[in-house]
Amino acid sequence: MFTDHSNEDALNGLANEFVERMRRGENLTLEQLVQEYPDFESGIRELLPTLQWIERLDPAASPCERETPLAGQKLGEYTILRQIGHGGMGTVYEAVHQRLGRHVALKVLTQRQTKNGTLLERFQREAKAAATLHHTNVVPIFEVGEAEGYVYYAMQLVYGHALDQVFLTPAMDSHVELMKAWGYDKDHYSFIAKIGVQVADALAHAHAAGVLHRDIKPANILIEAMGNVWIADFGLAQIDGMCDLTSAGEVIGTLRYIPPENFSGRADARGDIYSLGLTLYELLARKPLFAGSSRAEVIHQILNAPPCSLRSIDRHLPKDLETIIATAIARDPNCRYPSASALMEDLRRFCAKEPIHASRLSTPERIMRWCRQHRALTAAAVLTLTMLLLLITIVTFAYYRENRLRNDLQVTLEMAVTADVQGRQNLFDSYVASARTAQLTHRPGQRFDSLSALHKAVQLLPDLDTLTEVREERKENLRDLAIAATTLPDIVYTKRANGEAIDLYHLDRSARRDESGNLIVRQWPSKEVIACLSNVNEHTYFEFTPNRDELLLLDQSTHTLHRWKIDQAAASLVTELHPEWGKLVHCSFSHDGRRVLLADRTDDRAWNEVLDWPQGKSNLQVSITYDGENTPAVKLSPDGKLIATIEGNYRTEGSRCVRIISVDTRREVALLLHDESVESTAWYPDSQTLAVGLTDSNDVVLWNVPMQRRIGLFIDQRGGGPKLCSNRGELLSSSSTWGSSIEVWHASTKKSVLHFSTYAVLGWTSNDGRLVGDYRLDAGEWQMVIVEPSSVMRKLARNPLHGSVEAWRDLSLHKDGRILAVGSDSGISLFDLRTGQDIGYVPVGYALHPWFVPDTGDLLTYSEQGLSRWPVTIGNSADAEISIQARIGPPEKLVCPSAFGTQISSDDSGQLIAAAAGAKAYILHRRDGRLLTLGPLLDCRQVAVSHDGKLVVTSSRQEGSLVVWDADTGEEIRRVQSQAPADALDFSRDGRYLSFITKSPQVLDLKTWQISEWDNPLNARNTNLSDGRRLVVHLQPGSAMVREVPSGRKLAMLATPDETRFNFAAITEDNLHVILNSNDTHATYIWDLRKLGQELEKIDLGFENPPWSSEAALETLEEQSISLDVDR
Amino acid sequence: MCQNSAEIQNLLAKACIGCPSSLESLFGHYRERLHRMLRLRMDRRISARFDEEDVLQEIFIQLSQSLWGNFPVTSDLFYVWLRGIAMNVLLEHHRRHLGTHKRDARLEISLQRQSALEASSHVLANYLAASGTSPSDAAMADELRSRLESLIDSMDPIDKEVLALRHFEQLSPHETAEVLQIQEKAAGMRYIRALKRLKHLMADTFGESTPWSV
Repeated sequence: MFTDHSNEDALNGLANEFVERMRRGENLTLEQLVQEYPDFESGIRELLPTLQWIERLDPAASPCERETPLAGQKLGEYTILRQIGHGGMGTVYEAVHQRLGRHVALKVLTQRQTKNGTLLERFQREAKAAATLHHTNVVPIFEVGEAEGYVYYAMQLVYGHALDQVFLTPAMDSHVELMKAWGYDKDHYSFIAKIGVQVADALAHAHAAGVLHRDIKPANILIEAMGNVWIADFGLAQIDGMCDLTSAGEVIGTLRYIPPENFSGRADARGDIYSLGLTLYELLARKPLFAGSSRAEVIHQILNAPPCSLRSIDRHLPKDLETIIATAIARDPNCRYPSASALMEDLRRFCAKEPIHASRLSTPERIMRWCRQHRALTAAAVLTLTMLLLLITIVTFAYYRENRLRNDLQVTLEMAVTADVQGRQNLFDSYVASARTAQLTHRPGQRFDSLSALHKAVQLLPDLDTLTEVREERKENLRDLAIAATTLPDIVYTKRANGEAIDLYHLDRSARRDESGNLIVRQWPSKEVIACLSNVNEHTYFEFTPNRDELLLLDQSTHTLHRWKIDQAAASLVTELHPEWGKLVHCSFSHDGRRVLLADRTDDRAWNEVLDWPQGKSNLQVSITYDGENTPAVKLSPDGKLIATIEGNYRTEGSRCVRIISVDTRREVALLLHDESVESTAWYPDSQTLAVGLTDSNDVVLWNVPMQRRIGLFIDQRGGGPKLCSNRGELLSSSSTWGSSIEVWHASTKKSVLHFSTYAVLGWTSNDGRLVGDYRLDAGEWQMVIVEPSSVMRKLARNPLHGSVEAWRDLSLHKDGRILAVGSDSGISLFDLRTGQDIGYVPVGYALHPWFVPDTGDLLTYSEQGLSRWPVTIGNSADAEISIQARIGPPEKLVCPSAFGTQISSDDSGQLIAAAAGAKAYILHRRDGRLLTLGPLLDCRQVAVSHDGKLVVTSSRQEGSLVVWDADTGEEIRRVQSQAPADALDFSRDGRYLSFITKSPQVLDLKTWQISEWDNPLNARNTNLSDGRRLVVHLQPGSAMVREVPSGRKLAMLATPDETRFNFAAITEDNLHVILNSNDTHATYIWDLRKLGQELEKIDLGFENPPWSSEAALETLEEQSISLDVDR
Repeated sequence: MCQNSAEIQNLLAKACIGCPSSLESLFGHYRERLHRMLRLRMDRRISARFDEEDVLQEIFIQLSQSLWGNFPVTSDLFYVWLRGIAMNVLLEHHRRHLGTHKRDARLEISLQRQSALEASSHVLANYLAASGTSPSDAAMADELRSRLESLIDSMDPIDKEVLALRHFEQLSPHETAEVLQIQEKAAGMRYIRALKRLKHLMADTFGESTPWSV
């Protein structure tokens, strides 16, 4: 007989088995089991019926009918990607339009609702009305459709949060980040009022178009991180509401926003005003106004309960704001604002601190308000008044009270000094605030104005009455802000004279013909004369070529083309142009200056010719249909080998395609077809990617021309076709069709970075990546507009042809400091660090941590395809156009038992490789092929090998411990507890220390096994981590901290104004470049610390004693391209 | 579940190094189990107002917001961890909508016991009664319902919980032990004892010839 315990144990095992078998569908009988397990007969007899009973009663399959479509399913032209949300009315999905590639939010009605005919009809009618609304704060509806038995509508996909998530969740601080992003650090009230302004503006627009929203509530208002507010579900919500009101499981949350008059069946625009007022009320109060627990109770409250005064909840709430909201939510519609625009106007006035209309203010309040607005003046006035009064007192009593007088005078002076100090402090604060705000605007001045405000703040710093430490801290803060500003592109305006040609490739020379026929070349803008050519007739067009010392001259009277090298006295004839030459309208060179495209027009004909320069050999002549009105667009690729043409007028068949013609073969090599007319095109510097702007949808499609494949899409809400991509491939500009504004995009991340109004069209790019445009001013001058990219930070993103990225991971630098490898969920991308170009791709599947062997430069990959070594060879190229030829592969497969390692590392020689693979880690000795297994470990993610290959260290994420192993035997030497999981493991060169990062940088002494903080200078000095000074990067939320070791001194905090979160970091050996990867934006950010230092120097915030020599000349951006082959 | 454990392990490996789509498919794998748990534990006052799907969605959001490095890489531990997140979400709903405050003494005590949301006898009984689908079963349901409710209510909370975990949430013995935070062996014993007690209770209440004996 068993003891009771072991019997229970065995019975437990049997019960598990029986349950498993029953769930597999086996029909167990008592007799059969008793036969199988005779020893447990009594137990089985006792428990089996209970087991069967409880299993049979298990409600595993719930009777839920599938009412909604599934991910991957196609609805009409859309493919469903994933579910975003689910509500009473239907389910919202992210979906992609198959042909346009556009991502939309697709709201799909449940089939139950679709069956209701009147409801369906009404839904479609309302949706169509709402789709006519075009407003920056209304989520646009693209389409209403019906397919596969579902009724749906497609809206723009908004990346934001609903206000109820932001304000009304228990995690009450989520709106604080947004407020920061908007620059409302403290003023919570204006922040909410600003939201109200945008919503009210949109409502005013909709009401004017005769559309009511009918269900304004926090859940229907979305807010984006950059501040735009969107109203969703226009005109549709009411239908939703109707089902809700009649269905049993109705949501009380929705009920409380319904205006009182709706219960008696009346609804007009003032109902939306009420709901908006109530929404703002709740955002401010952070709690519902009507918080009944049942439907009846809430309705009763809406109809009868007196609203609770906001100021009784929050006594700091400005009176005006309370007045506005009380007016908006008045129970009697006649007492509310008459229109949404009136509400908007009052909210706007509140934000601007102007008096509102809703109620009159008392005189003392008006005075107080004026004083608040004009603090400096008030302070001055008060001071003057005080001094005057005091002076009168002094004069009156001087005779009698000399002692008293002296005291009074002292008091006056002290007051004056205090006021002065306070004034400077206020001024300082306002400079900082305006610098911060400018950075977030995406408008001109975001960099330069911000920097100049910071410069003024820096100059004010010594005058502030503070302790030295506080001053130093403020200086640090100013520097942090300045660094964020330097990452932004900005605009410079300058002028040129009529008839003056500027060297657009270098922006430092100009040429102009004077009245006596001399063509004079000057330095620009200093006007110093460099060269002169005489006898140039007035019909001559002249233009600089990319070679900085020559000009192209086109004599339109003789139809001859000349070349003038400015160190020579005369120009030489290049060629004669064809006899019917009309008027030159366009002249552009390839980047290398070896080809030139000349386009001319007569009244009825448009002719384009591509010539070799300076030989003058004509390669290609293309004539284009031309209606004498619109100028057909022809663009020469940067390498001069292809031209892209658009033909035909708007909405004709021909205008929907872009023809690509090879200059060398004169054949059409590609035809890019679109659904609508093409507006304009722009080549990327790789001469393979073409951006094509569409006229009607304003979308910009990216094509890979050789493969004739669409590889990306910009959605331009403001309207405009791409005009130009900078020669470094960083910025893409688009101009609106009627030429009043320009949008500048980051070319690879497709994010808008700058928007401004101008008459110019950006038409040229300088060699250093600036975009240039101009337009004629009245006074015979030309306004030049120059977009300066950030000189400090570049963003790199993967070439879309190499597959899309979901996880953008760790990075490794090749020993020559030029090739950068970035791991991702679909292979490893290789970038040229100097030019920022994506130069290659190693297709190894899921590979998150590439590793370049320090000495040999071989690339190690550990991916789902196993562990491989890819030899890398770099040499000079035979091809004149390419300076460096690199080759990667073929791969050598190395033995490793587990796929999916999280990290690999090796010693300097690459002979010893260590890999982390979750429950185990491996050491591979390549010399003798030995494979050692370390572990079992608990979730090992990180591994590092000492430079000499003697030690291996692993870090476990679950335990927060570091284990040091003997690399030769695979035996554990020591286990050390770190407070938190350790990252970025790094051995010192002598193998004595291991640095790592937990919550802060730490150092483990491998002799004493002591862990110490790294940023403590004392510890750092003792550890003597490296021979010279070195920089380390330490990631923080939204920024990367660069510190110097061994001192631990903070050098810079690298962050972008929108606080992009970085996940992986590296720094080059020469301490000059910091490379950061962000998994959020799937981009790699390269910071040039030396240029950053120079920029900061200009505003007196330069680094003190940076760890690089100041004498070393800045490398010029040589057009030294690298070409890379990957041998699979 | 067993046949695709390799696939789950694979997804887990991808998800824990930050791949959002694998997190989604992973969630898909456990969705039905979580749904089962919600149906069992969600207060009926709340379930009248909220769709379980909404709560699942919220759980997924919580999951995707949790740091990719924070969750365990073995599949059984993962589910227990995920269930923990789900319990927190549910607890939050109960707290928000049933007026239970953070300082509510009852909640704190039950939190310490790690059984914040005990499977309520009402819900259990509801389950048991409702799941008989044939007409005769349905006729019996009302009669059985109140008697089952009192029967299950009379059981020790820990017995109730272990039965719910094993049978209604269909957790494995290992997972059950993890959730209860006791040794697997001890969990097994508790389970067998709970089964025995249930059997005796049933016998006491309905006699040996119970209508549902198989």
